[in-house]
Amino acid sequence: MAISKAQINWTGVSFFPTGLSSVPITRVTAGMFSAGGKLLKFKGDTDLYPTIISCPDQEPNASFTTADVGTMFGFAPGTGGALAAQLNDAKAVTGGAVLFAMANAVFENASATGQHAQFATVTGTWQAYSSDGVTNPLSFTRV
Amino acid sequence: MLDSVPDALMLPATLKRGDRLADRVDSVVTFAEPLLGVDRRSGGRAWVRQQPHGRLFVTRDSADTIFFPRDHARSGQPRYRWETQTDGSQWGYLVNGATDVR
Repeated sequence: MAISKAQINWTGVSFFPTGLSSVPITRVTAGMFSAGGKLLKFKGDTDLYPTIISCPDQEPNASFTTADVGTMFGFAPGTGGALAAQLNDAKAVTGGAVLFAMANAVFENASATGQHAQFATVTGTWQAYSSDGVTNPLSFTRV
Repeated sequence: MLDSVPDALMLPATLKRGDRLADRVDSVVTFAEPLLGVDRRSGGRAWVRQQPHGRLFVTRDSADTIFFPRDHARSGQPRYRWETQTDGSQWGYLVNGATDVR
């Protein structure tokens, strides 16, 4: 079967706090990794449109939403480590999944929400830093 | 020219092929892993990072960095000695003292 042209479902989501065992995050309903680019635009004189757009700022970040409120609230804001997750091929074809790894991931926040007669969910967010200021902390590979 | 297995690769982003994330990652990984001596059977992987100016930094460990970290005495110095290849890619070899510093 050919690799599908779509990805579906996150698996293998884990946070690896520095110096501690990995913590699997299951019951995931949504996930996001962002390159975190921010653009800076310049206009001057009689310019109507930007004449320069630069990308001087990149702050990779990630978030995952899960029904497992307890696990996510077990991470203290500021906890550093690594975050990994697998985004699967929509038809589970071999070679269609992508592994994400975020080095120097710092847990930022856990925000829980729940409504009457509905499953509660929690969204955890991470920000990543680059230890040398140059290397992108967000990397990819295939399964 | 060094002929041993490099510790890192700096590849042009034009190496990427395909219109899906999985295809693009696969095209780079397929190129890089034999060069880096990655053994997938033992869990090895080549990790690809997008860098500015159309470059891809690829290593066997997702925690590797191009330079020594900011809190290191050698901050700002490269962790690799780079050798430019005929195809324009660069092969990096860890310099002394860089093995466990990221």
